Amino acid sequence: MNMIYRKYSFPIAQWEALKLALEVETTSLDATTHRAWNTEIVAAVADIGFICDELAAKEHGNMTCVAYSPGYAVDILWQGEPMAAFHDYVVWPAGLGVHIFSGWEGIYQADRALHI
Amino acid sequence: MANNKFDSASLVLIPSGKKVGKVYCQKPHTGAGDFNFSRASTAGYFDEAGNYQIAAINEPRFEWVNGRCYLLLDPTRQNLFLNTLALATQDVTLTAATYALSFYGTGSVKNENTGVTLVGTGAAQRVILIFTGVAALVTFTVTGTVTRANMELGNSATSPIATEGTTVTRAAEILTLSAATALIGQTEGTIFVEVLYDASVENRAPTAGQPLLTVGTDINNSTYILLKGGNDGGYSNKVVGVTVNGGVTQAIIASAAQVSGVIKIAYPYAAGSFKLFVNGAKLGEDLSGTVPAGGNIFFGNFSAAGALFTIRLRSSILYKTALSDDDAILIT
Repeated sequence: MNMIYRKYSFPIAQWEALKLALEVETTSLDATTHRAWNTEIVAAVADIGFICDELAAKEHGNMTCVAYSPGYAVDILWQGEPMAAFHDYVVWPAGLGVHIFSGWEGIYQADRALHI
Repeated sequence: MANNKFDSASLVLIPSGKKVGKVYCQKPHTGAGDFNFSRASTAGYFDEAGNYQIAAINEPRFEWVNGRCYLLLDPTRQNLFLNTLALATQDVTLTAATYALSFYGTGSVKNENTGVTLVGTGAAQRVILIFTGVAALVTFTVTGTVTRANMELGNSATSPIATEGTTVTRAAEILTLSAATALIGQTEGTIFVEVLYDASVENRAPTAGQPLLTVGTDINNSTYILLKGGNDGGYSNKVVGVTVNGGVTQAIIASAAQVSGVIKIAYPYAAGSFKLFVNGAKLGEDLSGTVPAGGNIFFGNFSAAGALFTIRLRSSILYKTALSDDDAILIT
């Protein structure tokens, strides 16, 4: 298996620009276009978003996040070597972070130990 | 046409043999019809004894339902619940989108935002609630025994995704065969597929559609079968046979609405003759149009991007001739 798992934290505008390189455009039967992940480049992408760092008190069953992480979190399973343009945004959160691809727990932790 | 429908088939796929990356076909005997399978993560399933098992990365899942074995193909999903083997009360970040809450057990889960409670019905029974979320952190209050719970973004519940201290994504399952021109009728043929259908699942067409089985080259040059879910306008819960050649729709034939259960579908096609059969009955025909050539077979998508909705595949057969009405009725 040549897949590589990396976690990223981007400025949102940077993610919006970079992710175009991971997508392909298809046209449906009703002539509308649709963008999907290019599976020749990425095996899977988890678009996590801004992670909540601090919660406010509950009200009517809801909680409010009062402090979000500045970066936009994305987990990517690459089909091969990650694109160089993504390298500056790699992060290695402790443990497994807030998200993991099923079955990649040990691989991520071993990679993290090598990189931090 | 030989009377024996196995002998006359060009490809027979009855999922019973597998290894990592492969699902073996019964025919042809050369292995040229063995399908490529991938899933970039592990995934769970219930075996013949009802025990929950974990399939390795790229290992196909053969799941048993009511004593029958199916190849399970799921779309990618992220489980937003933590510690799902024994679910406890927790807060989940939602958006203004459709979610599927599901679990096994006799306990209950209450959405404190909507006030709606989903009550379990048994240790071996799964309950499902489709609801619209709000952009907020929402508390889900758990009472009693709640196991194998999923909180998924989407309008259907897929197979349970086990989590502990983090959210977990199961990757999409991809079952394809390319360079299979010799197995696909290029000017005429028949597609047969047998699946376990859940009429409650809203596998509506998104922008790129949701075919059950496609043969051909791509979305613009293919013959395929749609198996629609609920809430899809005039196509709700219908089987639809479609042929597109050069980007131009040649035939669209829709069945009456179907109910949950095993569905057998046959779609014989030839230039000027497209017919749809479901569960032993002829449901429509279109006597004009052309047939696209092609050598690819996709389940659940028009491309190798993986399943867009859950498929439980019992069998699939291709013929390189358009079966007669009697034969199509016989095999369905």
